[in-house]
Amino acid sequence: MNESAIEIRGIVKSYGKKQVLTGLDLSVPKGSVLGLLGTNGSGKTTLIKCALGLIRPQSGEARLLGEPAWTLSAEAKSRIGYVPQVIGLYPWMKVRHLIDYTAAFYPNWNHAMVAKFVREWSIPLEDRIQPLSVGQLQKVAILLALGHEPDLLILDEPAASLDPLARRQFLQTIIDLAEPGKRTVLFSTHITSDLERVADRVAILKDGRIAWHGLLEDLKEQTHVSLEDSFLEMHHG
Amino acid sequence: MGNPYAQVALTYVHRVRSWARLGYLIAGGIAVAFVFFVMIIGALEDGPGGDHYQEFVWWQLVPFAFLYGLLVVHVREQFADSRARLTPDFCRIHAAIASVAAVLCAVLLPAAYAWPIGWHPVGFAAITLLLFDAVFLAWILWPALLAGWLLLLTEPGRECVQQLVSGNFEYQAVGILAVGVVIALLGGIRLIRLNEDMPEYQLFNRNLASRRVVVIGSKVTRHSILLRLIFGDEDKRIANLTRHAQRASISRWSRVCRWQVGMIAGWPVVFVCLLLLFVFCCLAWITNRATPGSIAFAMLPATVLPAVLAAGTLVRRRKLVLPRESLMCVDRPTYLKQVGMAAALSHLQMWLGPTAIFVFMFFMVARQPLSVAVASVLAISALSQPWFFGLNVWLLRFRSALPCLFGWMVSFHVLMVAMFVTEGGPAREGSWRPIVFFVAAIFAVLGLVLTWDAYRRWLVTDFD
Repeated sequence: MNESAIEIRGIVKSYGKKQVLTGLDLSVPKGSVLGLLGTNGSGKTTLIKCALGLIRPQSGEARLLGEPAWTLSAEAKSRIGYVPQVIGLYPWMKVRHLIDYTAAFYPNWNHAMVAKFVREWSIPLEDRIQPLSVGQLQKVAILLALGHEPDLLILDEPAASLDPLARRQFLQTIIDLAEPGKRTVLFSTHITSDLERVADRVAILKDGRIAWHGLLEDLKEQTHVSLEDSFLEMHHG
Repeated sequence: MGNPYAQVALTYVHRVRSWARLGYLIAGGIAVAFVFFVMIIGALEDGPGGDHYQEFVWWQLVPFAFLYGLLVVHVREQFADSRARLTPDFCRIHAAIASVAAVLCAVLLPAAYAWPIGWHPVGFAAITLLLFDAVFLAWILWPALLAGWLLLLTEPGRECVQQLVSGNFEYQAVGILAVGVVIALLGGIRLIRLNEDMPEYQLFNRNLASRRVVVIGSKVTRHSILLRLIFGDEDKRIANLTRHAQRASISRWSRVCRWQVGMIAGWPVVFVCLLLLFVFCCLAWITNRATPGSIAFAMLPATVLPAVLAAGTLVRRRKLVLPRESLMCVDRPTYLKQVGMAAALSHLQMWLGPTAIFVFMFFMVARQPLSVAVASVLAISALSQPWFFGLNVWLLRFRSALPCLFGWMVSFHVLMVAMFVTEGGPAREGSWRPIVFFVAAIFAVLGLVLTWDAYRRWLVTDFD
């Protein structure tokens, strides 16, 4: 647990005059499940994109699985799964085609596991992507991110559009996947109950910096209130 | 199928199949084939030295440009995605397949197309490869590419194209091909390096692009003077909307005008017309072809296209706010009628403005009354407007813009053939004119029927 899957040092990111991340530091130990909390527009998605090397910060450095995020090797990429907040899948493809297409890039694709999730989550394989609901799209995106059993799973508000049943199934999947130190999971969410159920660590983002980061149990011990109340206290003084 | 190359190649096939499923591709293909059949006969009768033969070369490039547009959009969307940076070997495999597709469409297909017509395959492929580069790199090198294409429109440029097609410039054609390949490679490298910080990422990414369209009225128009002049001052127009809304009970005109926010109407039309006048004056100066004949020839595209493109694009943009607007305190049939009237008004203004500009240019150059030929072109242009309007509102029900683009292209080609038949080509006799008018009148009637049918269908179409 002393190695970091994600190491972020002094990241600064601005869009025009608006500074979103202001010298942010974050270290996510391997094998942990970190829940990232923050208000709307606090920079959760920007932080995740910087961590993944999708956008380049003005200063600071992000390392993923020991490699610089901006120049990840194919080997490192094959160990990462990502579910973006805005899901863009090719609308003209059938779900089955999309799974085949994605699987072709990963030598260790777990076809049996994917088939199991398809059944359990009632994913319509023969439907095209275009008419799928937002929740169904999210299920497909999660499936595609899990198919190669990544060592590091990064999810940007993954359960936001899922129905209660799918959310429960999804959280259980995360719990199973993250079983004692097997995988590292970073996920951003607004739903504190989800976070409490799955995460062992929590990071709270405020004013472009990490306002609190540590074990979830420690936070509860320090504040003696629920996670939601702690979050509200931090933002309203 | 576990081969990543095969899977990437299949994305092209799946996409084409999804269009073919709509039936547009087949119907459009038949229409274009017919149009080109007529043009080929005309051009071959005219002979290699004739005016129409030269124009024929240019019109052959339109479907190729359309094909390249589709190809480029497909490839761009693949690279403007987080998967491109996070999936192992994504860029290498996608770039390889895209290169094969580009060579196939931009070099081999044109060469195979040119050979049976009797053109020099390498010469024609050199031109189409440059066209592909223009489409591929339009977002970044557009000033240079625009200048290049304007040079091709000059007398020496046209002569050069003629020589390339005839096979007299064999070595030059190979040189142009090599330059075209280098330009395409540079564009490919830029695409492979694409990331979210680059300005074009927002444009190419499917989700971000649609969100960008939603905010265009509120953000882009505030920052760009040119767009502000074209779209008008959105704040002022919203103020007008309030004013019209307050007077809604007074006149039908006010009720229609209140839906014109976001459409080109009023002073912006004048600006667009002046811009067109400037562009056509520059073109006339560069190509040295400011003659009554050439103005008459340019009159059809110049009067039809601004209205079709501007009105069509803006009506499509309006579609994004239909769900919200339809919940305002107006019933659905009234809402559809009033938005439709507002769109028709905008379309009419965008036709009248450029038409007036061209009639003015004709008088300035020819210094004589309108000839029968010019009047016929104007009449064809006018009669085709109901068709284009009907086509826009009818096809707007589909999520994809592709059927609309295809509809515009096919209709426009039919009109060009109509003009070609009127003014020369296979039959130069005046006896053809009534037939052309008859065709144009059918267009107008069909347009009205299509508009009515579109209204009927929109009454039961989901606003989603």
